[in-house]
Amino acid sequence: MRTLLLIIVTLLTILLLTVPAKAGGFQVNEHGARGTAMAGAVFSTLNDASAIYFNPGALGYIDGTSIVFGSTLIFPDAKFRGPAPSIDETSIESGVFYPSVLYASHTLPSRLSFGIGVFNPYGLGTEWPSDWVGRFVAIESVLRTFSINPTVAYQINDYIGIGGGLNYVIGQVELTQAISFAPIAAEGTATLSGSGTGAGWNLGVYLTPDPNVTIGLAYRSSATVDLDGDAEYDNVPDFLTGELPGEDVSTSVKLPANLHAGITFKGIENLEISFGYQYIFWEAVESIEIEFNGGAETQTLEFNYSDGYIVRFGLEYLMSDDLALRAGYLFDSNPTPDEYLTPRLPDSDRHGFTVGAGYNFTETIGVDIGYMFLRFVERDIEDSQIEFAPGAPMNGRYNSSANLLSLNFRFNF
Amino acid sequence: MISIKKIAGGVLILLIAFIGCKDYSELDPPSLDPGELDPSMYVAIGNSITSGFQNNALYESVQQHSYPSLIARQLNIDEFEQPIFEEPGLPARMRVATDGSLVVDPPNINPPVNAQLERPFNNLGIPASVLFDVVDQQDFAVKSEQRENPFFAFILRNQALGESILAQALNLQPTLLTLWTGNNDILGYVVSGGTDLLPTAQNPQFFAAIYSEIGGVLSEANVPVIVANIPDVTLIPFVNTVPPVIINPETEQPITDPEGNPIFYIGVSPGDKVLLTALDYINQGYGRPVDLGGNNEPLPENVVLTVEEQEFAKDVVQTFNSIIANIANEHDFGLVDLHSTYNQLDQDGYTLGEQTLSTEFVTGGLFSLDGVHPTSRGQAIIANEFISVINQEFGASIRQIQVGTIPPSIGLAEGGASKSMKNLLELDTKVFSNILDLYLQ
Repeated sequence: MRTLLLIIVTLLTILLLTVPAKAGGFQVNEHGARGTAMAGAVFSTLNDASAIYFNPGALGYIDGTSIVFGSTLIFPDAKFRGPAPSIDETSIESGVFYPSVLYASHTLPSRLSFGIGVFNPYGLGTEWPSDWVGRFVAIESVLRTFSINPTVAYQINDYIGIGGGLNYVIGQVELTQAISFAPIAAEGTATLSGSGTGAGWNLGVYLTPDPNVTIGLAYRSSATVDLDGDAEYDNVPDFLTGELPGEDVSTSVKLPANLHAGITFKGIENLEISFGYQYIFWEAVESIEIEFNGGAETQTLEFNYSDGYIVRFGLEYLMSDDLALRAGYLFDSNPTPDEYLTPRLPDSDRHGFTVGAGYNFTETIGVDIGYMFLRFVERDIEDSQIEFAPGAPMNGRYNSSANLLSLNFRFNF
Repeated sequence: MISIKKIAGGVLILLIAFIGCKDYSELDPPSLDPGELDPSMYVAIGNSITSGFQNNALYESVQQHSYPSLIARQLNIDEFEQPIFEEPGLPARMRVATDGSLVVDPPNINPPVNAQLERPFNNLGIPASVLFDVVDQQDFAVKSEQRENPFFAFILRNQALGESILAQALNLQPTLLTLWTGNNDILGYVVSGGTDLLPTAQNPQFFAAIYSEIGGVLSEANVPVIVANIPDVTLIPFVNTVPPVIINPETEQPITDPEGNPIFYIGVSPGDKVLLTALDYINQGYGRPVDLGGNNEPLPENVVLTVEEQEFAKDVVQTFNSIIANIANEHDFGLVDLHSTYNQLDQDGYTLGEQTLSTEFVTGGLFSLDGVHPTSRGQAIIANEFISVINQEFGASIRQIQVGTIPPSIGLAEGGASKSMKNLLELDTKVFSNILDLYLQ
C-alpha cells in the first residue's frame, strides 16, 4: 500500500531528523560534578582529570595521578498541550538517565601528561504514552553514546599548556512510534534501532597570562557515526506484511563539532569567577542519506538547524582548604526551528541554575556534588512541519524542565 | 567573609526560584465564533450517510463520525443525541480480516442503547430512507416491517415524538437544520443495474412537490436551514470497481482477442459499468464463454449499468439538483454543492499531507467496504463542506475539521482464510447483495 510506504518513509525521516536533534537538545554537557555545579563554566578552571573532556590543555597542570568517576542523574519532565486547537495535556513517562564518567590521567615530572576518558557525550531519551495523540510521531526515543577519549597533554611553561586526543564514539539509537494502516482501522508499531561507531579528535589550550587569570580554549571535532539498523514491526495485519519496506537500513550521522572558550578571574580571595562560551556547529550537519539495503531508493534528508551556543557563568568559593561551594547559571540556545520541533526532543532555549559543593576527605580523596535545574523556555509551535495525523500539523505548546544531580569521586596521588 | 547561614539562605531562595520556574502559562480553549448562528439546537435530516452508516452497517464507532456529529463537535454542542447502535450494528457490518479476506458480522438486532430518550434524536438520518419518508406519517413500526428496514422504528420510535421525520425535527425547535436527502431516490436505480426505478425518479415533479412541501414547512417555522444537493451516484466504487472486460486471473491483465482487443463480458458493452454485485455471478461463470471457463450466460441485467442507464441516472440527479437549488433559493436556505464536491474528489482526490485519498474501492480511503458509503474521513470532508456554507450563511468562523485526525474506519477482524488484499474482491461476494437488500424497497 502506498499509504504504508509513505508512513515508513516519514518514520525514517523522523529517525534521521531525530538523531542529531537529540544530540543537540539533549547533548550531555554534564561530565563532572564540579562542572555541573558551576553551570559548566570550567573550560578555564580545571583541577582534575575531567579536563580530558572540558579542555585537555589543562591536563599538564594536574600533578601526579588523577582519577575521577561518577554519574549524573537526570530527571527530565516534558509536557505537550495540543495538538491545536486541542489543549489536552500529555506528559512524558517519568524516567531517569545517568550519563557517567571515568577519567584517569598521570602527569610526569616533565609536565607531559597522559590520560583517558570515558563519557557519554550524547544521550537521554523521551517516552510518551503509547496511546497518546502524537504516537504516530513518537513514542519512545533512546540515544546512548559512549566516547573513549585517549589524551596527551603538555604544560609548555608557566603560561601555556596544550593537549589533544582522539575520540572514538560508539552510538546506539532506538526509536519507536505507532504506524497507521489507514484506511484499515488498525495500528502497529515500528521500532528502528541502530548502532555504530565513529571517530574524531579534540584539542585544547590552557593559558595563564596572569596569576589571577586563566583562559581555556578547546575544540572537539565532529564525528561521523555510521549506523547499521534494523526495523521491527509489531501488530501488522498479515496481509500487509509484504508492504513493509524491509528490515535493514543504514546511514551515517554527523555529530557536530563543539568549541569551548572560557576565562576565569581569581582576583578576589578564595573566589573564582568563570565565564564560558560553547559553540555547537549544528549547521555543518547538512543532510543525511538513508540507504535501504533491500534496494529501495535512497532517501536524502535535509536539516534545518542553525548553530547553537551556550553561555555559562560559574562561581567557586573556597570555605576552607577542604570545602568549596559552587553555583552557576547557563543559557543554552536551541538549534531546532519551530517547524521541525518533534516531541522526541521537546527542545527549547534553556536556563540552567546550579549549586554544588566539593569536599576533600583527605589529601587524596575528594567528592563533588552538583545540582542543576534546567528550565526550558515555554515554546508555542504554530507552523509545524511534523504531522501527527495525515495533513495535521503537530502544533501546540511545549513545557519542559529537568533536574540533574551529579556526584563524583576524585582521587589525586 | 561569607557566612554559612547567608549561603544556606541563598541556596534556599534559589531552590524556591527553581520550583517557581515549573509554573507555566495558562492555555484557554479556542473560542467559537458562530456569527449569527445559534448553535443550541442542531438537527440533521437525511439518509444513511447522515446517520453515519458505512461498511454496510450502522454502529457506534462510525456514528461518532457521522457528518452531523462532526459538525456538532465543531459547534461545541455537548448534547447532540444520535441513536446509538452497539457494535457490530445493523444489518451486516463488513470488515477485513488480518489475512485480507472479507468478514461479515452477524447483526446486533437490539434497539439503540438510548432508545428511552424522551425527545426526538438530533440525528434523524435513516438508512435507506427516500425523500418521501421525511414527510410520511405512516406508523413507524408498520413501515419498518413493510420495508424490511428496522431503522424507522429504532430511530423514530414513537409517533408521539412526532408523526414524521419532519415533525420530530420541528418538535426539537431547531436553531440549525441540515437536510441532505433524495440520494436514495436514484441510488436504488443505480445499484440495481437500472432495474428498480422509484416514482420520484420516473416523475421528478413528485420529487419537486415533496421537496417543496418540506421547504415550505421549514420556512414557515422560521428554521435556519442548510440543504445539500445530490452527488453523481454513478461515481461510487460500487459502480466503478469491477472491470467490464474479462481478466486473466493469473496475470491479472485483460484477456485479449487475436486482434489484441480486450474481451467484454457477455452482456456488457463498451461504456457499461459492471457492479460489485456482479462478482458473485462472474465467479459462477456468468459473462464468459465456455472456452474461457464460463457458462456462456450473459451477466444479469441487474448487475450491469448500461451507458443509457448511467446517462439517465446523471440526468435525474441534475433534475433533482435544479429542484433543490430552486427551493433553496426560494426560501433563502444555504446550499451545499456536494455534487461538485464528489466530482472533485473523483477527479483529484483529497490531499492529506503527502497522501491523497481517492474514490478507489477500499484502498482510496474515501469509501467504506460497502462501496457506497463514505468512510469516517469521507464524512469529515462532507462536514467541512457544510461548515463552509454555515460560515457563509451566518457570518460564522467555525473551524474546519482536520480530516487526517479522523480515525480510519474500515475495521480489522482476526483470522480468516489466507488470502492477500488483492484477492479481497474474489472472496465471498455474496455480501454485496446485502447492500442491495437495503435499497430495493
